Amino acid sequence: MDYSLYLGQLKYLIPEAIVLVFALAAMIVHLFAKINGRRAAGILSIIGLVAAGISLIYSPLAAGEIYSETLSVDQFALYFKIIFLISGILAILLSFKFFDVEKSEPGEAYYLILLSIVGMMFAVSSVDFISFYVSFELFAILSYILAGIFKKDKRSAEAGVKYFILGTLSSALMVLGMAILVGVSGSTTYTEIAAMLADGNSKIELTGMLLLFSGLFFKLALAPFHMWTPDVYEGAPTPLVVFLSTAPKAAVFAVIIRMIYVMFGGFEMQWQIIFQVIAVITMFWGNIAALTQKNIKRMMAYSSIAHAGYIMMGLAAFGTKGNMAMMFYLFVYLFMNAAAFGLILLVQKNNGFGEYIDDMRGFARKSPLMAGGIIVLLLSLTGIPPTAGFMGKYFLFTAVVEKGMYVLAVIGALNSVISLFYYFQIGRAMFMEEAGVVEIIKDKSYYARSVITVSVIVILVIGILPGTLTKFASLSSLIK
Amino acid sequence: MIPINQIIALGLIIFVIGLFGVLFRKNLMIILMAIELMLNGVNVIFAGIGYHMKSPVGSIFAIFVILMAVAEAAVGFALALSYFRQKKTYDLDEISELKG
Repeated sequence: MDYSLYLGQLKYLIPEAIVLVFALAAMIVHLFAKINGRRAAGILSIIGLVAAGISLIYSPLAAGEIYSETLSVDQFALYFKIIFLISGILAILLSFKFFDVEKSEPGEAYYLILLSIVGMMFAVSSVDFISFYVSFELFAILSYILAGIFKKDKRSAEAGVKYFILGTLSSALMVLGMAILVGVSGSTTYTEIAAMLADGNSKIELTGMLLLFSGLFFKLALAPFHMWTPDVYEGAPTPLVVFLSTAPKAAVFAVIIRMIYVMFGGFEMQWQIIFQVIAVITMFWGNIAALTQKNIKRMMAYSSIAHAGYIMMGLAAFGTKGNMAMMFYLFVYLFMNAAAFGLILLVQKNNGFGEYIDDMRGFARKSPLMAGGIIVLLLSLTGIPPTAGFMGKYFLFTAVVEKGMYVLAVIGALNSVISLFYYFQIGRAMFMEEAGVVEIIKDKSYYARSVITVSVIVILVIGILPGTLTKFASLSSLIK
Repeated sequence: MIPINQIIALGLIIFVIGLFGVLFRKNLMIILMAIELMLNGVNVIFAGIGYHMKSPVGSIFAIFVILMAVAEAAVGFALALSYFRQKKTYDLDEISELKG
């Protein structure tokens, strides 16, 4: 064995190493800090994520696959790693505000977020079933803990248990699918399995692929595997939902894109149909169920199901265009979600106030500027110009139309119209109805406020000038 | 040498028993046991593959699956414990705080 080669390849993993080191440092700080000194662990975590982001820009990309062909550090992985880091930073900033309001600070959340980011960073790079499985479980298991982190809160404990049962069920299905594929090909690397799958006819291999994908679809909350989503998102602490609803989804989409690109190209006939059907069911189910919700967190859970359906359209139209559209949309969705949950945190009190649409009454009167920003956010979630959400949907629809799937594009547009009705329930409560008791607690540190402001600015800038992100996404969407 | 079909059939039977346990039982502890059963069914298949192909790949994968099963069990029992402290029961039918 040539160990010096492995040491030399360490330079490709510097960003992961930085996140890991800061996670361990935050763990030690949290261990020795007093109850009100736990904030230090959070600040340390943010510094670590920023440092990892900087090193990500300057770290070299590996030309081939490293570590015995298990990891591929390419531009594609880099794009998703940036998404994870931003998602972590936004979630930790919102957690500061949330923990202030709740008057209890489970500082474990900070380093658990960092560790699960490490898992995601490895998952999007991995091109081998074993390394993929281990890194997938690393972020999956930590996300169950994050959902149930408030041990004293009934809803959080319940959300953790539900997420755990359905999550492990899905990963067991996934690993069975892997067992079939490994058994057929006798190897665990994607490229060697691809060589065995090239003809794309065998029923056994198709079963393996479907089991693998159904496990991954659980994590993406696609219908009919979405049943856990509303309960978990409602029960889990709000700022951690921002993390759970963006980063793992982006990671799993990235994994699916890479698997299709490297392995399952031969099964195009089969997965194209399946993905189209799932996209349609998911969009309709998410949007229609969201119409009747009174709780904003629950509504956003159904909305995130619907958004996963939109992104799924890009997967059905797999190709350079489709991939670029998906990656663009995932980046934009991150900011839309952070701002939407930031709104809940902005008015939240520790008795559960702020989670219902009626709690927003009179918001525009109290803070007109903030309400204007929220309107931009709602436009973006619906997909109306001049916002980033519109650009994302535009790219998705053009990719779908270019593949000749006109029906799918029409259904997607129809669903955007449906979503208008429930998103603007929030807007109507803010502007039209006056007799509200809403109160924007002036937190002296402006965490929720600054996250919403930054997110809305990003949404507007990308909506008006999408050029840079488009170029970056289309550059990254080429795997090798 | 045991035929590969029989090993895979055994693994699938164990997996399906576990799957039914997760889907149809209501007691949290039994569900956790059923999840372990599913993963062990997959392990049998992996071990059989390695044995049949005379390659270490299957056994190595099985070791990693065992590793992840341990981590899942640790987290699962911790979550079950915090659930029990809130509800004083392991029965999932008591889940009522979150409708749906």
